[in-house]
Amino acid sequence: MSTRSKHFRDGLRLLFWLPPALFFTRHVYSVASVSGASMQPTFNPGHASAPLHHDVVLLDRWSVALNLYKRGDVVTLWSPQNPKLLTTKRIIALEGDLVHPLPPSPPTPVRIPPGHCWVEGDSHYHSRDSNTYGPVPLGLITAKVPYLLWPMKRFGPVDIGPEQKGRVRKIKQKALDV
Amino acid sequence: MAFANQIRAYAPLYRRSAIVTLQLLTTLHLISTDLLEIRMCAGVSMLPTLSHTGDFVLISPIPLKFHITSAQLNGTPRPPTSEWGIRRGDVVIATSPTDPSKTVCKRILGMEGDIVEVDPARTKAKREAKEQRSKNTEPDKRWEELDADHRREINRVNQAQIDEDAKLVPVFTPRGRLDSEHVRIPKGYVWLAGDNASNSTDSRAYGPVPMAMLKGKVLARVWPNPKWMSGDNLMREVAETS
Repeated sequence: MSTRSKHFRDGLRLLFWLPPALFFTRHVYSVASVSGASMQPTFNPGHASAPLHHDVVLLDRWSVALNLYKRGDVVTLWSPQNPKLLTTKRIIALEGDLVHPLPPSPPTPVRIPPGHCWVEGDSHYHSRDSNTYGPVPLGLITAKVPYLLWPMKRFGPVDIGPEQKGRVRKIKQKALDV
Repeated sequence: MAFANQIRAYAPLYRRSAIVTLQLLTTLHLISTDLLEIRMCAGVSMLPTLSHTGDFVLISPIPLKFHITSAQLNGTPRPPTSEWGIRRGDVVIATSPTDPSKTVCKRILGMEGDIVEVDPARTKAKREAKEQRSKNTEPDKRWEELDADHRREINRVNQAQIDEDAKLVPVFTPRGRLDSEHVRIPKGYVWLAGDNASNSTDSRAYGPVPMAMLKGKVLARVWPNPKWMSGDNLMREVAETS
């Protein structure tokens, strides 16, 4: 009887640690796996040969709460067209910037409105991104992806991607251009 | 020395209370983000439904989650709008599209697939201006012309103000710009509007808003004048008062 009540008390003690743990994974750091080919070659470079392989990445959540974004950051965001779908994209431009979109978007330059950003997948052929749905509100972003954790071979920080030469005219902003 | 000893003696107690505080606060946070939250809503944009001095409202994210998952459950491409989910006329809390650190409280005017009139006031002003222009081409009507000039000037000023408001947020929407009178709401988006159309920054300025930006449905006004809020009866209320 006494051992049973002890087990019960241990279980209860563990339960009380659930909310702090959830808080940590939602607002500080967590881990996720990336599926799909839209971020090739940064994530899942061998998607064609091994479609079931998923890269595992670190998600940095507190940057979202503090609103710290740079051009070139890889982020996870809810698809604006589908609230059930979490996607991984790279921030190309921030508010105020002038972007020359790629097809299928019309070729007229787009000024990014306040509180929005321009996101693109690294692989243009496998990605549905801002070139399809336009600038997205920063409020859709759920996390920044600073590190690749698995596979071991490619462990390390996620690079900031190629310079978007001539495509993005940057506007300096003290709040966003950290 | 005695003081240090005292601290050492109480150390487990301090640690214990710190842990309990952490657990309590995170539990409260979990409840407020996942179940129910009472929050103050201030601002002129939702007059007369919510006062500008700040009303306490009961918010829950559960109807949103229900709405988003119910399409999967029913196997239909578009989620059905039900009393338990999100319907046209519901008041919701959303992350502000222009500033992610702020939230806005607006009413859902249209769901995906609907066609909405972007701004009835602007459409009317445009139409009147057009009428004035056509009237103005008639010759030898001095007084009417003057009158038309006057009204055109008023319209121009009004339009300038409206344009100025619109300029605050240059809009690029998936299906064309908001210069058009009517817009079809794309899949996955909703149309938000404040009840106080003359003083509200809403979808007229920033276009349709992705569903994922919505954070909760306003279930009731808690204080002052407690009252349940559901899409239907509030739509009727607005219709009767205007």
